[in-house]
Amino acid sequence: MRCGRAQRWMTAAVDAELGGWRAQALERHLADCAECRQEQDRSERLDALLAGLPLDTPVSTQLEQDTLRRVRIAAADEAERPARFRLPTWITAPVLAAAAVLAVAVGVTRMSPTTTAGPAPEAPGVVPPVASVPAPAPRLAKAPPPRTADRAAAADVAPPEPVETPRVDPPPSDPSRRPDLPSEPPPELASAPDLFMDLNLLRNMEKLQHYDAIETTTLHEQDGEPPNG
Amino acid sequence: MTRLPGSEAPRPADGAVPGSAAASDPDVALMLQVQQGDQSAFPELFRRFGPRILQYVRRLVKSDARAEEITQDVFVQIFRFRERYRPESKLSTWVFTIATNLALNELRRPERVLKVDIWDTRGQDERREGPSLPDPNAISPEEGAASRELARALETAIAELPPKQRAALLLSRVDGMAYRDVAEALGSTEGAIKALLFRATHSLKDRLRDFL
Repeated sequence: MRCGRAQRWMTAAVDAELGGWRAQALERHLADCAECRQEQDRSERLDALLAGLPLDTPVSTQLEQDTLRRVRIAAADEAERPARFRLPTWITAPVLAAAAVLAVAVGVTRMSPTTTAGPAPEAPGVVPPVASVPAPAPRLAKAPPPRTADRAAAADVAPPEPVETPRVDPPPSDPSRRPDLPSEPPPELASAPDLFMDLNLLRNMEKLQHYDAIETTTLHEQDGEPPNG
Repeated sequence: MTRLPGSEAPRPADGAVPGSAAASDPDVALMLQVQQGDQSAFPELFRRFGPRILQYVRRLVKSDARAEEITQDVFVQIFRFRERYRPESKLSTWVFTIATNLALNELRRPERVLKVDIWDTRGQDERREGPSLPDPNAISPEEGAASRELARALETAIAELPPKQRAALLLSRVDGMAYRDVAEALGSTEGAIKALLFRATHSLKDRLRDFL
């Protein structure tokens, strides 16, 4: 055995992760190689030092209280969230990613030129407004006329009755009008709104402001420079 | 049994057999209580793992303030994803996986690099970030044969390791996790962990040559 391999195996041996014939081979090598024996002694001393390092550190009461308060807030948030918005536990990130890839693949397939060679498929649920016109006799081995011509012919037969469709109001832009949101914040939020701020959001805001400041500074300096020529 | 407001009706996790796993591992039993909504279980979980997680993250991110933030995040994540824990694996491995991911994410953030550069230009007294030296009182003669100077040199040498080597070394040598568990916590393979540990110990032996 070479010394390089022996020294790689020493690491595992110190961690008691080397077994079988490898451990025996290392033993044999160490018996013959003084340099590796010295290295093994150093490895064992280092291991003893590392094992002597403090495993834990005292946690302040403040940290414990802050952590448990955040957990209580998370629990309250879960309780307030409607059950229909909760994903089942089997829907993990890989499952969501696979679903997204599948959705994109289906979309690309539908939009690819091979599928548009024939007549474009109608969107499901789209009903032409001339449904009262009797259907023309089926004509075999002849392509149906274009839809616009079809509509013009239908207009000659009988003008379509104006169909009164129910008016659908757009979703309210004012979030306070949304029925799924409470009209008033929960008491925890009202008493301490800063607890509900998302730390990651704040970090990203800091980042954005930082980049914005850089960009603004650069533009400002560029404005102050004389034009070339 | 008091229940957390976000908890569902008491039920074991899918596929879990609380009786067998919980009986042998009190940590698993505790986590099952959390899963079932026992309000008193989570503070106990924090008391059991908080000091270890804080120390581990502190050594990884080398900043006390950020370590405290990350420790909070770890326990919030534990609560939010409590249903995903399966008693088949050790709770400590799962907890340390969360802590490692959050700490390594923190180290990858660009603004952190910027802050380290800023701190490097300041005087030592003003420094709030950077390598965090151990509390000399934390190492008693009974717990470690090393002197305070050696312990300080060791902590500094660990702090200078690359993050993944540092994480592997801390989990394996300080927290005593098996290679398999370290690999799970770092999302890696046992072979990769062996290589990381070899490089880490090699670096430490070089840096501590005068002490070993």
